[in-house]
Amino acid sequence: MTPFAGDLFDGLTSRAHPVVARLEAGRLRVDGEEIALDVPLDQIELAPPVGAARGLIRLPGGQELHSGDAAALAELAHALPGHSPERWAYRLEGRLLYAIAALIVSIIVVFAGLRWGVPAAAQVAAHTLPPVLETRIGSESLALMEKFSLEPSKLPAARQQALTRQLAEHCRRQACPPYRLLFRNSPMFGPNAMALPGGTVIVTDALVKLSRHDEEVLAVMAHELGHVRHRHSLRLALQSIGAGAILVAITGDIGSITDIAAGLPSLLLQSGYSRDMEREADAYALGWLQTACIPPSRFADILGRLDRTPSDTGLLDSHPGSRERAQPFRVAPDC
Amino acid sequence: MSNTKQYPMQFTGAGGEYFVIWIVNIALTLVTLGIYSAWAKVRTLRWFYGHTLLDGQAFSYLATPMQILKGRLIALAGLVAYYAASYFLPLLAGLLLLALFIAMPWIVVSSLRFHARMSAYRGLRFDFTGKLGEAAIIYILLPLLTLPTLGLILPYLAYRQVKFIAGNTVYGQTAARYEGSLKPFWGVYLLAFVLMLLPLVIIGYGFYQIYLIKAQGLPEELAIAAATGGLGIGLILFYLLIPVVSAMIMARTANLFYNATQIGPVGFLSSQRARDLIWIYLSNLVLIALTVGLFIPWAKVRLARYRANHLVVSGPQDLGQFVAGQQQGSSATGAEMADVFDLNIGLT
Repeated sequence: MTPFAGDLFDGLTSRAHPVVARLEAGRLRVDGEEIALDVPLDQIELAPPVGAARGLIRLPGGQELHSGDAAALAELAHALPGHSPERWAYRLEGRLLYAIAALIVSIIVVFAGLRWGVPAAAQVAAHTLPPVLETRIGSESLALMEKFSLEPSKLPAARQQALTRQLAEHCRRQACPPYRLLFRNSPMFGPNAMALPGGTVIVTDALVKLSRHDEEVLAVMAHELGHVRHRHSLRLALQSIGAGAILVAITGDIGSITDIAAGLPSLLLQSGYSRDMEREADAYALGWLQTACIPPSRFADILGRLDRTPSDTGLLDSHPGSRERAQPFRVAPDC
Repeated sequence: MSNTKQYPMQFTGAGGEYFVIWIVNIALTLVTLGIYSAWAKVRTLRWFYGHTLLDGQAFSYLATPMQILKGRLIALAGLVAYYAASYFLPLLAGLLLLALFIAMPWIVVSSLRFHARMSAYRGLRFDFTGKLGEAAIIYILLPLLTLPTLGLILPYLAYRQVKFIAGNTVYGQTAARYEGSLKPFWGVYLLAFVLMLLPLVIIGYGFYQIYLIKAQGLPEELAIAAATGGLGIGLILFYLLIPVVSAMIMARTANLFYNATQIGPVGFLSSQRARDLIWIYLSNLVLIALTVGLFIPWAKVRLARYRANHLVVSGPQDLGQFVAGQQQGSSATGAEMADVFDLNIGLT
């Protein structure tokens, strides 16, 4: 190894001693004015080099050797024992092409993990969590919604009871997940229905008014029962926690400006998750309606009307194109 | 004055060199689901420190990735607990937030201390000796007074923060002194206040127009047009002024920080200019947006180079006379908590 120049610091004062160092037969020799060190390699510690930045070699007794000779430092790092992960980094940093390839591969890995890994983990977690917890989350979120976006229903009590009874009757004849049906007025959600964790199904007054047949409301309720059946709300909550934790861990180092950009894919993935969930709930509703002897086209009818009703938030809109969704319900045979 | 010498601070890193390091850091962080981020942080800081030269000698960053990882995991566990609690038990989340608030002074002090102790120059470490009590006053009590005093406390708060951080820094055995006064901080914040007043005046003028139009019995549409015009221009100006004002505050605070700090025989001359910093921030922002983030490494290097180029150290002919202090260990938990919870402690 060719000798390299550096500065030796004794760790006691800030004085720099210019020295020349070389690797010789498994030992590091450091020579300078009134300095002659001969240190076995297993007693020195080298902070793995980064680019062309000044490097630091720790010698016994608190002494430090600083050098700007990047090539010599890299060679020394190679000669030292130990397997720091930084060695991989140094190799990848050696060529721009490697670096970019590494980045592309890792982005693919992470997206796959977020798109399929997190939902799968959330599904497993949702089915192992105790139902008590789920019920509790449901009642917490219901309390929150009642404070901000839900009012007591203004529908006549008889109408509410009639719809509740019809659903209960159907659920006596075929298996439904445990549910609790609530009618609420909500100017914010417009015509809509939602399923909360723990099985609470909320139907808004506007939705009931939009319907032209009770079976249309029942069809929407069946869709929400599908969400309940598959524990979608809990899974969504778990997924956003999981994805959030991963994204925080990853982006922690990239920088705050990019946080917004990094949050974007997670948002897109979220809507991807819910699209899958809508399909699952639709499939459940279709089977339910057929068993209940309700024409599946009822769901397509009210979906078509919902599409034309302006409403921004909620579970029913902003999902896969409603024409695409309505298609299976239109072609399915009545019982 | 023949005994003192001017040492310009230098930054020798190039954007292209950092770009590769940055991209590999991201890649390895992604595949390891964030675990590598501790190594990434250490490599990044070692690169920036190792390219910052004073009198031909570089600064060194001494923390090991394992220290960072440990601190980061503890902090992350806290964050996950908070998120989980805010979903499942909002009351517990509130308690956790309160605990974080109470722990603030400790987080601040241990973060500044860790950062100082892991920074070295010429083989001697820095240290930070700020006390918890003072941190509690500066980071809890004074910020709470911002609203009741209508922001009049802000100059004093900034002054106390600068004094706390600068005055408690130690290099080797030599403690720094901060000799700045409160007065120039008033100048900075009064200017900021006047600048932010501008959009308010425009909005107010819009409302005055409405009053005039109504008083003259002119049609309602004219009043609405005047109101939206005044509000719109005022709001746009307001949002444009936020980065400008914060860059101004940052540049001037950095100058006030360095120019009144003295470490033994060493003094500083910081000459950052608000308009330069504003230009750097805005152009960086535009370039980062245009390159989908790929410009970030160059943006960081630009900023580091600007800061180095505008800092001159004046000291004795020989900077080799500082003596080492006692070496002490330090945990990264507080520092990483500050990072993970996005608490703004430092000045820059």
